[in-house]
Amino acid sequence: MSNPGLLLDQYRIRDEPYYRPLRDEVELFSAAYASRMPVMLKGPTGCGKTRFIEYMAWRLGRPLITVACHEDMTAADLVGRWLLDAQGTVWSDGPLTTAVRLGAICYLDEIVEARQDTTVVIHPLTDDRRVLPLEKRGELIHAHSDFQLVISYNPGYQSAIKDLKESTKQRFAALDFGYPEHAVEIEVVSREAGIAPEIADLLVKIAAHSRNLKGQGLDEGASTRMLVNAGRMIGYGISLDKACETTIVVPLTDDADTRNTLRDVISACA
Amino acid sequence: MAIAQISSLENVRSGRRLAALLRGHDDVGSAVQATRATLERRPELVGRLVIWDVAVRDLFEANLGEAVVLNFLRLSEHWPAQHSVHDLLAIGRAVADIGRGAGSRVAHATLTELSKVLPRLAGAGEVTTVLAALCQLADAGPESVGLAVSRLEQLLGHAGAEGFSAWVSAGLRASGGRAARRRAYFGLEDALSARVLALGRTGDDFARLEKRLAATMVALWNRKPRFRKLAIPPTPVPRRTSLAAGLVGLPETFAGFEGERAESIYLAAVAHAGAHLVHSTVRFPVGRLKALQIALVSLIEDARVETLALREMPGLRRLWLPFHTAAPSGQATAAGLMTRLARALIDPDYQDPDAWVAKGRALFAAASDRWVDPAISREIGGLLGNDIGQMRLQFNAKSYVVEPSYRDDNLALWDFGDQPDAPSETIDLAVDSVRIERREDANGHSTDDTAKPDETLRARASAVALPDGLPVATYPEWDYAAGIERMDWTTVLEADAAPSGRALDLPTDGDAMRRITRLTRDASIGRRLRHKAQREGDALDIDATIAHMIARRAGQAGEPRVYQRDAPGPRDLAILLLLDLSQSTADRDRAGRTVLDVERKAAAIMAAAVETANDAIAVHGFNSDGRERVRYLRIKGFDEPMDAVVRARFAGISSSHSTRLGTALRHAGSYLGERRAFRKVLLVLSDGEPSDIDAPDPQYLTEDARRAVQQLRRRGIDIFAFGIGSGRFARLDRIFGERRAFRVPRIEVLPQRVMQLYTELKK
Repeated sequence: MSNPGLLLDQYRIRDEPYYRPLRDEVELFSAAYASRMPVMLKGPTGCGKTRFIEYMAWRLGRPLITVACHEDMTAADLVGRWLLDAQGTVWSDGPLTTAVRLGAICYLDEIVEARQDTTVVIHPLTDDRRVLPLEKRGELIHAHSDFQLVISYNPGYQSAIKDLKESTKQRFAALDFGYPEHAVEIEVVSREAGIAPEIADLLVKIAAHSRNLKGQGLDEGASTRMLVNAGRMIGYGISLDKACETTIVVPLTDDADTRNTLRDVISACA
Repeated sequence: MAIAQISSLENVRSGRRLAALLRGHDDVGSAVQATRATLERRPELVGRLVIWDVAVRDLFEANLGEAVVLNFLRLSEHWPAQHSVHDLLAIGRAVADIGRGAGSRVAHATLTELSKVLPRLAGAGEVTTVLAALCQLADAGPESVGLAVSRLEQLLGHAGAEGFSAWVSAGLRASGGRAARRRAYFGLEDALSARVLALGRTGDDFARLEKRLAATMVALWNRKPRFRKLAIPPTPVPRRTSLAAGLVGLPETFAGFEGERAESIYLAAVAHAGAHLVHSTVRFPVGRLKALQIALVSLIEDARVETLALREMPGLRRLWLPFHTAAPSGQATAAGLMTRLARALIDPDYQDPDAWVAKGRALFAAASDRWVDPAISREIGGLLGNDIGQMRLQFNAKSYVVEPSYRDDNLALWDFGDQPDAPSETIDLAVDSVRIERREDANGHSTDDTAKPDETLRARASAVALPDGLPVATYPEWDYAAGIERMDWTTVLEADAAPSGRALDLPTDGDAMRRITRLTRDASIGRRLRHKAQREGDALDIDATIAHMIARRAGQAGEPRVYQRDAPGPRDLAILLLLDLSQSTADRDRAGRTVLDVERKAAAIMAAAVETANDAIAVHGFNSDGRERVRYLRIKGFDEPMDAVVRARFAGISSSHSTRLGTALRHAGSYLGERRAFRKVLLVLSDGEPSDIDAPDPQYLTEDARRAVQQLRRRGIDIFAFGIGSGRFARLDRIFGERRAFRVPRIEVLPQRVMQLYTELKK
């Protein structure tokens, strides 16, 4: 804690993460970072949002503090809280506060999962004030010049209850992510899972069919991440059927009919 | 040994007691002794005779006449060894019970019928299930036991013991305590009765698989055709799948395919249909083609689309091939050769010596670079047709049916045009016409009902004059002009809604349904609870901190439970949906749907969704005919599941009379008042205009309803209104408040409105 440099070092990304740019998102993000503009990454789960931000953090040479948001998360989980030790109360910074003080990229993953009253703490950070008030401590932190806020947001979960407030949305520049095109997805899957492109091709085909089912029994089709998982299992010598069953069919749905449909798809493609 | 002696001693004593009881009834007495003697020789009964004696005694003391006892003795003597003796004794007890309720004739008939159906009830507990159902019926509807018993063999043959039991309890609930309705139900005159019974069977394969087939079609082909069930015609020609105008018609069963095989043939049929939808891009003009040529072109086209499909999804071959069973056989017929050609074209391993088949194969293979072009089917089919003609093989268009059975009838491939001089053969082939059963379309909107003119609907509604129900409560009404509340001004007549013969079908996979279900499940609407003295939390709990510090200074090592946090409490919600059933809800919108249709569907979707979320929901309806007759119908109670009976009640509600909203609100409020729930929600579905024959001033009932709403809100009940239909609903805002009155012009809007509702509920 005493040495900010050491603290920050643990958040640094040392090796280049594999990222295959889909379009011009790298340039766009770099431009946004140049003016420390808050960025929102939109897209279905498992399409590479988190990998992208890791890659960008590595490229820009900034530490990355990731917070996975969940519905019981409160403002204190982000900002920090008073704790008790032998001497009395001590303040402990939350991850957002650490990033603001020391100049990291703070990545709030799946921000809609957090309750709306939690997300408003980022408001003063995301306009030209760039400050973080710590009410409980009576402190106002001016953000480090390297600090940037990035959030991710899966529009698939959208509903009145889990949606961003208008006042939150409008503070961000947004990059829209989707599943990669067929050929690119094959490249990603075979590279990440270490399998032959022919098998990756098969998996990508299966995924494309499963994505047809979005809204017809599935909330989302099989993601690129799922395909990588399936590919890794196949790489360990598991048969295609079993690998798909374990990494695609069973995780995607509990509905017996939909599972059978997915199995039909797999057997039709194989 | 000693135990055996004691039991045989008991046995003798019990026999003596029974004989003493029967003294003076010599006929019965001697018959009982004779039967007893027979039973004593049966090893499985040793030691059980004492209980048997009790059963006989019970039956005798039930005073049902000697015939019943003698009948039971007969049954005992012929009791099949493979059946448990306990079942025999249970029958004795049950018949005594039934006799007490329904009389000795019915008891006698029950014994006779039971002895007939015994072989059917071989499964464990099946006899008990049937007896329990009969006793339940004897208890609640003694007049109907005879009706049910007289058809027992037929009913059990149809539905089995479990199905029978379900049928009985559904009947008792559906008839709402009315004997006439019970008699209609148990006499099988009621359509609902037949339907509930049919559910007990495995059900038609199509209905069982429809959801999965639709999903498979989307997954494989990204096409969303509507599926229709095709009734099996009473002709020997087997029914095939039929494609027409975005519809996929599937036979309700494929004869000869059961269980898993049924599943695969439906899947094969759907995969094939999808291949047509995607790859059969043009329709061939029929022109002057003969039936044989049409059949052959269709056959090549089938092979063409399947080949294209296999390029994309090679695994489909495993699905289709098992149905291709044709093999070279002695007598060559046109139809036989065609089936073999069909196989040759998709099964690369198939060997066929026939030159025509080989030629077909070669022609098809030669066109491989043009497979994407439908014209090749027309060319190759035409050539092959000429050959068949030269081979002088008979082709009977009337008996021809596409093989193998998963393939469709191929009528959709052809453009018949309107040529008056089309050859009659062609028409014969087309005669296998699509007889589509009337059923709900994608919107769950009954095609039957829309077809009927308004008048019929109204006439029917008034003909089935609503059973008024019992007067259960009186309520005050607010006179805004006079500024007084008139005590006991209105009377509520309450009854269960009458079920219709046809249960309402719920769209289980509809988009709206799915979204609402998820929304309801995920909505956290319980109160938030503050947990103090926690190990972890957002903030220090000051009291706990001080206590802890004191303890530490005093040298005690307490647990540092010094934080507090807020967390959502358990869900605790009761919703009452109140439907406006007044005459105005029979008005139709531009799409021809009545407000009632939309109300009914919205209510059914919500009820199903809320039930999925494990919250309590009731659905009630109302209309009125003056202040003395505010009819209040219970469609679904809080504790009733959305089963066939409730869905039949949904289907049975109709529009009539007026809307005395305030009184209905108060009565619904009294239901919610009794519920123990943190959140009580009253949701009104209405077309929005309170009115009644004895209230000429439109504002009067509006103001009364507004007051009722305010009173209920003070009692902690949240009230929301959905204005159904395309009106503006100016009054709705006045009554319920702007933020709590939502407009639902079409059923598709419902999910958004439900979202709004939950957002409001969260506040």
